[in-house]
Amino acid sequence: MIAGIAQIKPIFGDLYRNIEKHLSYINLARENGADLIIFPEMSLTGYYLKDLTSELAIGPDFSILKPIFSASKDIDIVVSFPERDEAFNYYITSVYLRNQNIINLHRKVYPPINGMFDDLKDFKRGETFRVFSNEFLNCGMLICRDMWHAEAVTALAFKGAKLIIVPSAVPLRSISESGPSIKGFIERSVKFYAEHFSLYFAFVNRVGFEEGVCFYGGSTVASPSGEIILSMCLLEEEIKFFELNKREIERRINTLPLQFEEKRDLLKDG
Amino acid sequence: MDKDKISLKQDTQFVLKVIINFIKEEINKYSFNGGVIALSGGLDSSIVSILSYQALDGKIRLLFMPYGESSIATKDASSVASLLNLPLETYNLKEIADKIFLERKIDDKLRRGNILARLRMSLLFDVSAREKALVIGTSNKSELLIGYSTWFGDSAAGIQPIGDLYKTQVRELAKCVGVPDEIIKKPPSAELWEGQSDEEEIGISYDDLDKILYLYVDKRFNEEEIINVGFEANLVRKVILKTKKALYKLRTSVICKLSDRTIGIDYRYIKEAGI
Repeated sequence: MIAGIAQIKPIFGDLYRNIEKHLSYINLARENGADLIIFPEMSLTGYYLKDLTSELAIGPDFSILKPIFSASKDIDIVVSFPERDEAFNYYITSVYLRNQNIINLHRKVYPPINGMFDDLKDFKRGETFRVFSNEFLNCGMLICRDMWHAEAVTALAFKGAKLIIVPSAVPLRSISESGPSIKGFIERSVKFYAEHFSLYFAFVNRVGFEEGVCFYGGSTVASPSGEIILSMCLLEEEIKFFELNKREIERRINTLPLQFEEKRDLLKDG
Repeated sequence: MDKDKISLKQDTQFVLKVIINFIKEEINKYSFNGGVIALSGGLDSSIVSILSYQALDGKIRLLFMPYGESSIATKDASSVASLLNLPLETYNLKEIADKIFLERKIDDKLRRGNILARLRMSLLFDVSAREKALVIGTSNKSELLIGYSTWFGDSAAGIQPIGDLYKTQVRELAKCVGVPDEIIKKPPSAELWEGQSDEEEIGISYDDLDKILYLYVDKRFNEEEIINVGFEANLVRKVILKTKKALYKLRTSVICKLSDRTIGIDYRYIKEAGI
């Protein structure tokens, strides 16, 4: 299976132009023979919505996304947006579309509220980490800060995920002599999770600025052996592809069968 | 931790790229024709001029607004303008400022300095309207944090490309983008009056100031912890007090909340929402 990462710069607050932008990247992915294309967190609207949240929230029927649903006829698509549920709660959501249906919907479980983040002021927490099949692999989805919580990744890995997809909007901060420190943190995490849980781990970041905050890009994919197999550029829009190989997963598990040794009972109280 | 081992060094090439992308994106987002910068011949305005020139393919206006005849400032501002092969639009504030000082009986250096800063701001925003160009500010993090700037004066701008860089970091960047050596080496001055030196006036070197601010602001050290690193207690207290006193300058103005949704409090939009 070939997967593509669209490291884009969403147009802030402009749902319709962003849908157009998504469709052109989806076409590009299709032309490159991809079976899946993944967009970053809040790819359809931009991130710092604040009081625009209710104006731009999508749902519960998702009819506005019809063009993207239609495009998923022959390529799987992961897209992200502010979601409104039946009870008028708002979530930061990513959906996995396949054959014009949502086969998984993930709501960000850990919306951050420290420093430059204010997610919890506008959004409710998601509550679950679900594993689903895309008919090729067992997959799991997280959104941005979710992946900073080892228990979130562990939950998906324990449920059998072999591809973890993380649409993100990670801003730049703290630049040392060796570059942006956040990049090192993300790369170490991506490699660690992939290697320890014998799975593909895809961190999909965005680029561009919102009121001075720079989203740095640097999308990264690691293979089950902990190798970085895709490392995208910093600061610029880009689309790149990587291959998901089931045998790679199996070989890794055969070499280091950590999953056979798991003692999940240890996670229980007492 | 040892005082001398604190490093504010950065990956300069990456920082430059971020700033250039930032300037480019801000101008394009709002469809400005370019940028306008008050070039004083000092370090901050020189580097901002050079980076803006690079980001905007030369579409910038340089405005030089001296008070009287400072030969060094004129030479330095002209050298940056010629480096970029751009005209330097000059307006000498002496006549208009002296008229105000005389008629309003203003002798105090600080008040005079503030008036000059606000006259410069006024002319800068006029060029902004004339050219449909965004005012690109030249404030750095050190001066913003301690309030070493004139409220609605030199700190007034549409964007602040170096507003998150300490003065010593700006100096490092300047070496990489071709700011003339004489500008990098001359003592920093806000040019509020003739012969003014920032470091003398603030009472601390930028090297020490920036390290104290870095520990206090970026690394969240408290007063005692900074003193334990090896800085003189009085100096640390003085810097921290300055940052507290400067907080009001970091906002525009505070509105008395009376309604359901109040500007600056719970009427929450980033400026991009208005494009």
